[in-house]
Amino acid sequence: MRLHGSKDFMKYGILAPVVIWLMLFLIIPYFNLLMYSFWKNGAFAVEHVFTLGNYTKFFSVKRGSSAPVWVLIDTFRIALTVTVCAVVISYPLAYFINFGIKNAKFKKMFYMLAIIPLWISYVMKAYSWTIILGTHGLLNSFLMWAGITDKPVGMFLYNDFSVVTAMVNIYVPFVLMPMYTSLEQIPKNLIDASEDLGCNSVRTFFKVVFPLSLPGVITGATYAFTLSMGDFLAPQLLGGATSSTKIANIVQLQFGTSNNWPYGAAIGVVILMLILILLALTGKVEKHFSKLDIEGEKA
Amino acid sequence: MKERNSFGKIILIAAVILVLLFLYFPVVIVALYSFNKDSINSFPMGGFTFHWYAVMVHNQPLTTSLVNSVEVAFIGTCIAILIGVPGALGMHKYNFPGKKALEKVVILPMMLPGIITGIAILTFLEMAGIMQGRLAVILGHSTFLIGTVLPQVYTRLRQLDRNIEEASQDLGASGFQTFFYVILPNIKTAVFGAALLSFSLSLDEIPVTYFLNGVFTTLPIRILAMTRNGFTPEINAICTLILLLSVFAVIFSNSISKKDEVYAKNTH
Amino acid sequence: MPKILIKAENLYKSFGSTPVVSNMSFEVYEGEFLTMLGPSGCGKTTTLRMIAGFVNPDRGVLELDGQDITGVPANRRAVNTVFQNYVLFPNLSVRENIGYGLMVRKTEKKEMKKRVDEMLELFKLELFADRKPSQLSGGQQQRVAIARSLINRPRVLLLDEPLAALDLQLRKHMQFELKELQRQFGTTYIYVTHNQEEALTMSDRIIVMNEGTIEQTGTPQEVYNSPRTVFTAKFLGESNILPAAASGISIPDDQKNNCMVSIRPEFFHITSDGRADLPLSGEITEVTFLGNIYRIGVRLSTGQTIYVLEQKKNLTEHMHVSVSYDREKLTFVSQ
Repeated sequence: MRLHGSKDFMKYGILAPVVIWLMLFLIIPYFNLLMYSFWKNGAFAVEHVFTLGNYTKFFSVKRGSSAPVWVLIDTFRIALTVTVCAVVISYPLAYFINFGIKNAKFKKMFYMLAIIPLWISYVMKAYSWTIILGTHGLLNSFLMWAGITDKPVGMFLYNDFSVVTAMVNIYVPFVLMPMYTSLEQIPKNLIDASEDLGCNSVRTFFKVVFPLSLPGVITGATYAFTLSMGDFLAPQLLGGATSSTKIANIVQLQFGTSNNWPYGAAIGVVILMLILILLALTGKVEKHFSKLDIEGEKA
Repeated sequence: MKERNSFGKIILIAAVILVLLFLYFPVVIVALYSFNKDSINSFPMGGFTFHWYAVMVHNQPLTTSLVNSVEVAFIGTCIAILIGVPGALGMHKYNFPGKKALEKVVILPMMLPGIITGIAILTFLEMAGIMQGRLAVILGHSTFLIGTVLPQVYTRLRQLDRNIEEASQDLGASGFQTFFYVILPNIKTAVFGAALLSFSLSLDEIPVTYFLNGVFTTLPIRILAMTRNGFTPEINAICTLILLLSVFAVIFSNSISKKDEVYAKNTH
Repeated sequence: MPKILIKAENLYKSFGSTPVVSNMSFEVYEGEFLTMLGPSGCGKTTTLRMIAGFVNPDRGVLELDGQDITGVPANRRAVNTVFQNYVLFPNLSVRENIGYGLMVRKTEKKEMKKRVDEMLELFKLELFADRKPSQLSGGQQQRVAIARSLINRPRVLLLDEPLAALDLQLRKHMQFELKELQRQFGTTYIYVTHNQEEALTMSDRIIVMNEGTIEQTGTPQEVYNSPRTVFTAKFLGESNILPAAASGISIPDDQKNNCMVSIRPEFFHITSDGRADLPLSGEITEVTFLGNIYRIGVRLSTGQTIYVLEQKKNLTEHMHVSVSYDREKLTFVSQ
């Protein structure tokens, strides 16, 4: 049937570019990374021989607290902190725009206010905290000017605090978006119904709004967590001596001065696997929560 | 009951104000201090000047990196559109094995931290004989920009009446005529919005670029290097400029996409 | 002898492993208003889409005007469709929507304008000519959809439940308009609906469909008064289905395979004599007032409840009554 033939040609022709491109520059590279992680880093070049050495090196705990595994756990801790803070901070804003504003024009204006930080450059946000928290920076000079302190306080910058603060500042917009969408999709008459049945707004929140917003919260939290795990720039800019080495920085080093690409690839694969597992898990949890039967939850 | 309600509302509004302050305070400070006469960021400000903007313009590595960034953003966005729009059309029209997988793979670079995508593409290109530099950066950017263009256009296509192509063919139009007269006009705002978003994402991208650029500098990489070398005030200036562009881009893209939604809502 | 315009032979279509249409064979006569009637999922829309060319039958042949159009793509068939939700092009004005078919066939501009203006006038859309579909009401959008199809002077107009989205009053009005339009233009209409009242009002002939096959074909009077299957009897109007023998009805020789009878409620009569010699008798279970008539449920001795439309008043629950019927008004039906 000639007709079917030309239909198929259209179908494959139109999809070919994207499939080929993604195959070539995404799928193969990821698998290639996996393969790379099993190669040996020879003296002059990478040797294409199979070895588990990179992974054993990563998981060995012999070097005490500076062992990469501990760094991984430490990064985990930081990422978790950033995620929790970002979620706690974003939620009131997302809730307010959705339910606190009745006027459509104001709603749009606040929504834009909430989105704009998403488009502000990463480096600007990270850098801005250095000038605020630095010893000659804004906060210190203000404290001295106000007479609260008489010497610059070095404690604000170049530690976990500054790294977490900057990262929260950077990732809040990423958490805000899915959260906002989730809240927006809650049918308004569900809330009316809940109040009609006797719940005040606090109970309505906990029994109706919050559970229904969970899919968005989970999406946002996952986003913040995975991006934090892989962030090497904020630690580098704001971490100083004590806090500038997160797991991603170790990878960065292997592709830089340490020049041990296979080892870097191995760590990259470990991070990738952790993230993929997390994505799969949260995908399942999200599905469960979005099927929540709200009827059974009302007072 | 009512008292508790308004107390809760006050707390909520206070929280919202604090959050907005937290989000905007740092960048506002940078913008403010780009006009600071002093060359250190102390409180209080030392006076008002445009001086650092002039310095910024004459900073040659900076302006070169800006040109590089715009070039990469432009080419990357073009490639993303040329590949992503047909891809979205194909996914909308046809069912095929692996369609769901494709949907997930396309956005993978956005879901994973840039470092992973960066080192993956780096190791692959190195084996393929492509060195770090301009071409590598363009290839890397195009790859994740497809993940911006395709989903947005695909979503827009799904908002169109599912029979709209049939209606067009029913009236005698060929496949090409259908695309040109019916599909294209209805997705052009989505394409434009995605292009705008892609452009700004590319301009701001660091992690993937970091591993692919070699000596080819883009704007954010250059700014990063500048901040690591110690503070110079024109950093405030260039950041403020980017901030203004970002704000305009958001407002602009928002205003054209709202028109689209009205169309979609009323023709069902 | 009316000319056969469309002939369908043994059409079969399945999606996955479930057959949606099987063994569909029918004819469409030139100039008639034919309705395909059935519940949702019966395959009527799929059949319509096969005629339009959006779906290719797995098996079977479709002929238009004596020519095999089975594999011909939709854009080359002299057939136009009015969709259930109109599917107007949102980016084009009313004028451009209506003229679309002419435009893609590269009709000369002056001719195109003339014909579009004609349609605008006919459907009273002149005032809306330059508006976009999103600025029109449902009824106006529907008129544009019909105009957009008819302007191409198709041999056959296919209508897929076009009135389903309209409110009752508008629907009644449009039923009349569509019928008038068909009479005026003489176009052959194939209309799809699940609304049996609509089908009975508008059609010249009805094809009653169920589960992918044809139950019965005939004029509205034929399918209503002489249903041949239980399904047809129950789908068009209300009907009581009784096992013949148990009801004391003798089965004529030519109906040996049909052991069920169908009698409409209006053809039953209640006598409150309680005469034991009438085979149908029982206790009244419900009495519903419908305005000018009562609907009375009677539980027979066989356990089955039949429904009777009766003008007699003073009938109450638990009364024992006998039920008689018009012999000519019963039909023998197959399962």
